[in-house]
Amino acid sequence: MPNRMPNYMTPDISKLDQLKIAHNEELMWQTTRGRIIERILKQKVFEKTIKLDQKLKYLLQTESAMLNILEDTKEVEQNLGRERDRIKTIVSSMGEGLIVVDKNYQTVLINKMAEKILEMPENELIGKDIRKITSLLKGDQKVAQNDLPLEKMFKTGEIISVGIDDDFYYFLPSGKKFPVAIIDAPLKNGDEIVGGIIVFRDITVEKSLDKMKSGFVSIASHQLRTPLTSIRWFTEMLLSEDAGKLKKNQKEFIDQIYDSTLKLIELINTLLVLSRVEAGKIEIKPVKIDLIKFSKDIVKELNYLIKEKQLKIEIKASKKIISVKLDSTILRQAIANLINNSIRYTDKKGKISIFIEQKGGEIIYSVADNGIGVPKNQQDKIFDKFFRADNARLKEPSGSGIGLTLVKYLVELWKGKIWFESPAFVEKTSAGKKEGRGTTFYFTIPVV
Amino acid sequence: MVRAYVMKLEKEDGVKVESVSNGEEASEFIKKNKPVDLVMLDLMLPKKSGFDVLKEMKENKLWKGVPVVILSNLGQQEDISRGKELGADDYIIKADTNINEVIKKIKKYL
Repeated sequence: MPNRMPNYMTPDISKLDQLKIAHNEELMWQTTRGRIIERILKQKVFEKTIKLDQKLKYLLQTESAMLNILEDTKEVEQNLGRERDRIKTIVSSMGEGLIVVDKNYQTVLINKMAEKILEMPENELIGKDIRKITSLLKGDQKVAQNDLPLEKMFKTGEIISVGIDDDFYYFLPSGKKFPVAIIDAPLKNGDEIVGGIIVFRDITVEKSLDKMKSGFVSIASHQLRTPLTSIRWFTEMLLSEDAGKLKKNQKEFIDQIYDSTLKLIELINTLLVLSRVEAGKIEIKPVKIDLIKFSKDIVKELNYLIKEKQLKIEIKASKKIISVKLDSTILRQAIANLINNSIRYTDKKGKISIFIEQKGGEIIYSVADNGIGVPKNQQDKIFDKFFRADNARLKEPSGSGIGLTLVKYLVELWKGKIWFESPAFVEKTSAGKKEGRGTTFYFTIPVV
Repeated sequence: MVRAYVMKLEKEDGVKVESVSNGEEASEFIKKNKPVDLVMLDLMLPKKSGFDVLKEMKENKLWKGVPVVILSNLGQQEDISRGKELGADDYIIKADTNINEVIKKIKKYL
């Protein structure tokens, strides 16, 4: 660094000269410094400008990218909004109550119907433990924690439904109790259950209709049977000649009345059982039954019909004793109906065979006859209510067509299977093909 | 219909039969009369049901030991159980029984 400071103290030069020189030196120095600074600054400005330029470019790019993203987001948001509105409309207009809970049973969503059924506004329901809002009763008993449908749903991850026959009631804090049907479905995130959807409805009306229906069937059958009993008993008195001796044709006519009356009573009884099975109102009391002895007893009861037609009947079994545990009334009705059909649809001097066979975990019970058979084109309708095959109608015009429907219902009560075979051609004789006749009905009973 | 077996019983077996035509008359009869040997009771009675009559009978000191046979066309399992629970000795479904069987059952109690 040169000596920048002017030497004011030099004695040879006048003060003015000294000042001039000093001024000039100062100027020169300043000019040089200024130039250097200027150059440096220019350089810096130039560098900064480039940088700024780059940043600006980058910012512009970012801005346009962000604008693009914003635009996309807006669209997605709009779509989501539309979707949400649509779901909201569906949920709020549902006729069922709907509650969504998280995995801790806290309510996160409630629809209008749920508020109405539970008689509480949304703000009192949301964020609460659903188990504390309502208690679930089965009949009069509080449902145990483990048996709660929601609990079962969380445990199994399956949809659990509770219907009219389950006899479940909601009991509200207000003291109101009403029957409910509930469906609980899991909300899953992958395999994890993150919550549940509860859909429920008040089934008071359905329940009372159901009660009325079974009451109606019971009363109707009572009202139908009462006059029939009257006909039956007075006819019996006439036939036993309590009112005086009968002429031959008088007896014949009264016999006809009597037969028809018994048929009508039987028909009403069958209809009654059928409607009770359909309504799930059959009481089942399983007892141990020796199937062979049981079958023999039924055959004995029907013996008068078998004799009338001079039929041959046999019972064959794969073991000496085959026992099952079933409701005896139900089993009797099923077997008697099948044997009765065989008797009805087999010609005089025909043959009926009953086979009882144990195969693994089940018993196959079959009733075979060499009767008129079931026409191929009507075989799929044979178990339909009131259906009668053409040949059956011709042979027995008075049948009702509900016997086999009942047998099927009964077999299904004990979770058995029922089917039949009635082949079109079964025999080849020396005279050539003979049209196959006969039907074999099979049903299964699980072995206990 | 009641006439059918009443006629037979009175005529053939010399049984004395008293009959009333509705549930209220049956209640009155129990209050005013001495117990009988057997009560045949229908369930669907006008004015008061047979179940109620049966209940009153079983609450009446004098009448509670009288055997009761329900004779009705109400034949549901729950009707039969209810009748038996209230103390009926037998339950006959009318339409399913012929008149001679009814007489036979009645005579068992006489």
